[in-house]
Amino acid sequence: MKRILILCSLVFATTLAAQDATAILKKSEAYLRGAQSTAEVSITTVRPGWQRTMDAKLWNKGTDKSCILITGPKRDAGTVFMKNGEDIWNYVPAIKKLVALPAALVQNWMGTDISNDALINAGALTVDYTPEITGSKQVAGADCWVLELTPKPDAPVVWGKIIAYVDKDTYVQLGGEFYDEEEFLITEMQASELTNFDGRKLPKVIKMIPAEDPESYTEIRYSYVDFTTPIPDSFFTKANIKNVK
Amino acid sequence: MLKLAWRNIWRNKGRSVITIAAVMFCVIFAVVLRSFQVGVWENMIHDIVGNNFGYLQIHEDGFWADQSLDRTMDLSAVDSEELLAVDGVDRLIPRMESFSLLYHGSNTKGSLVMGIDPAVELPGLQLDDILIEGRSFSRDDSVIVVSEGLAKYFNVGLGDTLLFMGQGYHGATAYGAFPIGGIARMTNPELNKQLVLMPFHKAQYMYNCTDRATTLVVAIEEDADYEVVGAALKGSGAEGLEILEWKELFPEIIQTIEVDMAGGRIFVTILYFIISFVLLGTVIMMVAERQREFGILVSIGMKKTKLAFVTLLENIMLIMGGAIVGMAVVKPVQFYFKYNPIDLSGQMKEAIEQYNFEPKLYTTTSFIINLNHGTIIFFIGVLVSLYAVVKIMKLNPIESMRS
Repeated sequence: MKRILILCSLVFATTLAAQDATAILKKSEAYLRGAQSTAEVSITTVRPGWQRTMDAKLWNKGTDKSCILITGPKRDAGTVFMKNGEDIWNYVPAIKKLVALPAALVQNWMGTDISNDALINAGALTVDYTPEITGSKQVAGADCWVLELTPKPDAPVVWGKIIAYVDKDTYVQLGGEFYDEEEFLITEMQASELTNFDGRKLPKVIKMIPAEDPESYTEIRYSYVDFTTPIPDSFFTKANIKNVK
Repeated sequence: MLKLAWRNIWRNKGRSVITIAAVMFCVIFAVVLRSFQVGVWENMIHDIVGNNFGYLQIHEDGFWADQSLDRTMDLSAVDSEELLAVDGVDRLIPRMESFSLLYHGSNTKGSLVMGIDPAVELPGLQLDDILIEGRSFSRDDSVIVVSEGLAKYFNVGLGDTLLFMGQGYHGATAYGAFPIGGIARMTNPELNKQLVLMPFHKAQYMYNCTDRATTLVVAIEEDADYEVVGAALKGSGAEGLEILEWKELFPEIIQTIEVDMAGGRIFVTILYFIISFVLLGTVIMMVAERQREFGILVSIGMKKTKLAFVTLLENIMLIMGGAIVGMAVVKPVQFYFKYNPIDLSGQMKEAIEQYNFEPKLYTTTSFIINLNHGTIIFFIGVLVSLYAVVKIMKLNPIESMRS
């Protein structure tokens, strides 16, 4: 009987820990995302001897609605990526064509080091992954939880495992590691320059570094984030995709 | 002695003519066979390589191996003056080559996109010559020319717009929409199925490769040897660039040629066997006919060695005559088919088109082939004539006179 009790409490304890981890991740994402958010970023991709910067506007609402509009350079301006629930569309003004994209895209987004998945499912990791606290670690001078995220069965994801470092104080995710199904490190994420955006302290710069080639990286630099202006649901519809501004 | 041999030839004109004719036809057959084989390849190399791809191409170092647009060359960094100063270089032709997925309505097809400047292009890409409909474009134009097969696949005509989706320099999106300004027939059947020709600057822009190019084709002067020019270019300090000859660019063509040539050689060897026995036949006939004569000559005191030598000389003269006549007679045939190739039809045509070759049989006019085969047949002839020598040396004058 005693044994059973111990076993029960053990099971209970692990469940509790899992719930804790989920709560941490949810809180972290909610903090980052707010009820809705509008942001402006510039994305710089660096390769040995070459680099390119793109400007973009981002919209987010809830865990399943997001939109990206490229505003520069001119040749790519007007390109829109939109996610609403299961549907992902890409509108290309150069050919005036709307393309439906698969939910789990392995390729990187527009030649950057950001995976399509990371971009489109940003802030919605709890939907597809089960987190677990595996320890604590100092990251960029802050005490962080180490969360190990494993994909839920049948979840349409590209990663086999994600390690996330979440600040115990602010719940801001300060770092991450993305692994494939064979547990090889593919990309590393580093967040830095915590800045006040619309009342929230958030990293101004997020750097994605491919594990294979440490000389290359992509830097996302936030210049503006707005958590207050409401975005109607109708914004994230196929009909609106050509009017996104 | 020479005189004797010469007289012997004229003594029996019929027999001489038969020997000469035998040798002549042997030479003609062998040469025609090889001429067609070599000619088809010569033409193919000239047509496909010389007129379309160029004998020499310059790329950013490492481009040809992985064909990635990340390895396009920065045209402003290429010292074209130094390259142009190399002897035999006529001009440099920039090209922007890549792949793209084409859309029209609900149809899609992978295609090869070639951004070119028709004003400086090689003869095979002179649009005015290959267009079957529509018009050409300049390097800044905004219309494209599609190959006949592609137009047929999409069922499109002039003025219809094709959509392009691909990947450009460093992963940039390469999207575009271009109206069809012309439809061209490419001689290379594979290209005729999937090639899209696009104004050079438009292709650069679409692939996000402004001021860049995948390829600089080296157009060589007409009398220049590409191997010499290639070596000179490599020595001219084209730093960070690779200079490739067509043999390095398309090793599969060389392999195909080698396989085909090996097959041709087997065929010619079989032909030589037949030729050898035909010649042997004429020699045996000659020896048999002249048994009595030889017997008399030996019995009245002519040395056997001398007799054998004279007979050999006769034969050599006949065979040489035959070979020379054969080599000469076949020449007009070679020229005729070089300029009037045999058009293949039906199954043969389809089979050859599958290998992306033009279904036409050309001949080469290279005299080396004539000389080679003339010489080989001459030596076969001499070898076979040794039969007569052996026969004479073994000659028993009494028996031979009785027969």
